[in-house]
Amino acid sequence: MLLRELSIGGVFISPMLLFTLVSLVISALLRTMMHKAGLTRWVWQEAWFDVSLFVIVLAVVTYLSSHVL
Amino acid sequence: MRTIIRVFVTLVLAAIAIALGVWLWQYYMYTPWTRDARVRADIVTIAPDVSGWVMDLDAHDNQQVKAGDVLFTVNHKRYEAAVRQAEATLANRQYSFQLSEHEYERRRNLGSNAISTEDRETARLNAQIAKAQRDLAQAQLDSAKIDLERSVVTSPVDGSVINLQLRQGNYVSQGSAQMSIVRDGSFYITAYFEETKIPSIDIGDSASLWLMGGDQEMKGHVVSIGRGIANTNTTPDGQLLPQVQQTFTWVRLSQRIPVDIAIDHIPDGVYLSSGMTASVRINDQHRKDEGVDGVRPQGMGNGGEQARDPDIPPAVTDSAKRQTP
Repeated sequence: MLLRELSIGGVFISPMLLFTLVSLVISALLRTMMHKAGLTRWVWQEAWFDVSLFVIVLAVVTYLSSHVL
Repeated sequence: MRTIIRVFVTLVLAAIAIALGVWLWQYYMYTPWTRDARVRADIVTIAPDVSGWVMDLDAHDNQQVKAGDVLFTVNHKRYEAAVRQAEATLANRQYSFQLSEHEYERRRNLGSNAISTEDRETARLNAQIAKAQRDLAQAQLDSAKIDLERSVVTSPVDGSVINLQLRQGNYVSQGSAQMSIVRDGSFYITAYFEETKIPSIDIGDSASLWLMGGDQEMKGHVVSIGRGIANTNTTPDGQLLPQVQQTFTWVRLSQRIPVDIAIDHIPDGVYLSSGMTASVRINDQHRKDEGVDGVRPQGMGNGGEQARDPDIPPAVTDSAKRQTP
């Protein structure tokens, strides 16, 4: 898909908005799964962990969207 | 022990996040892509070479025309009369010339006690003057014929008529543009890239293009990068002092530089109009393979190393040549 603007009803928005939304959903899912699996006990500062997880997912989503799709 | 692992895991993850965050910023800010690109084409404005009212209007709006097709005809009664007048003048001058020539011939053969040298010289010069007058009349006739010929305005190129406001019976003046023609196959894209992204663009780089209306990707390549944009700091005021802008200590906006991109391939069903908005992304993949610095000699990539496609409009190629010093 590469970097290009998205058209939603004639309004053009940055692709980063879409990437951010997708990443939010994915990191929320990952977080829930970790809770279920009990992996959160290996986490020291949960807030740091959450932010880091989101940034990593966002970078991966951006990379995949540009280089794979 | 467990606490150490917990701290370690979190810190490692944070470090990875910072690294990826920096990459993401670089990627988003410096990848050469822009949404500010416009489709452009070679526009030819059509102006009549003679004045008069429009007798016949053959062109209609958005019509496809071939080079040489008649667009409109200016009333040519006056130009016909002018040709007849010029013809008559020419005949007149022709006979005057013959007359003075015969006079001179006769006087030349008279003995020196029958005619003075001065009279003979005058006769010779009179013949020369009559000859020049005749040549002048001939040139005026040629000019009148050109005027008559140009009362029929034809299209100089293949293309489509744009924004035809002219109506039959309108009075048109010499040199005033009456319509424009978009030359067929001359479409190209001008993308306005922020100056921060210009270093990663090179002449010859391939580009992906999308029109605002439509998801089909077009392929192109960079043919030239603009060599200048206006600088507001150099505009003089009424006293010819330069109007230098205030300083913006924190925020400085990047200028945008026009980059011309030739369209190599237009997929079926894509309709191009000059002025359409497009998104452009420059693919600099091949430059990464070449080396880290990516510096290429000036003027390289005029299309020389590209496989030439017959669809590339020659006009764009021309502008690329012009751009190279």
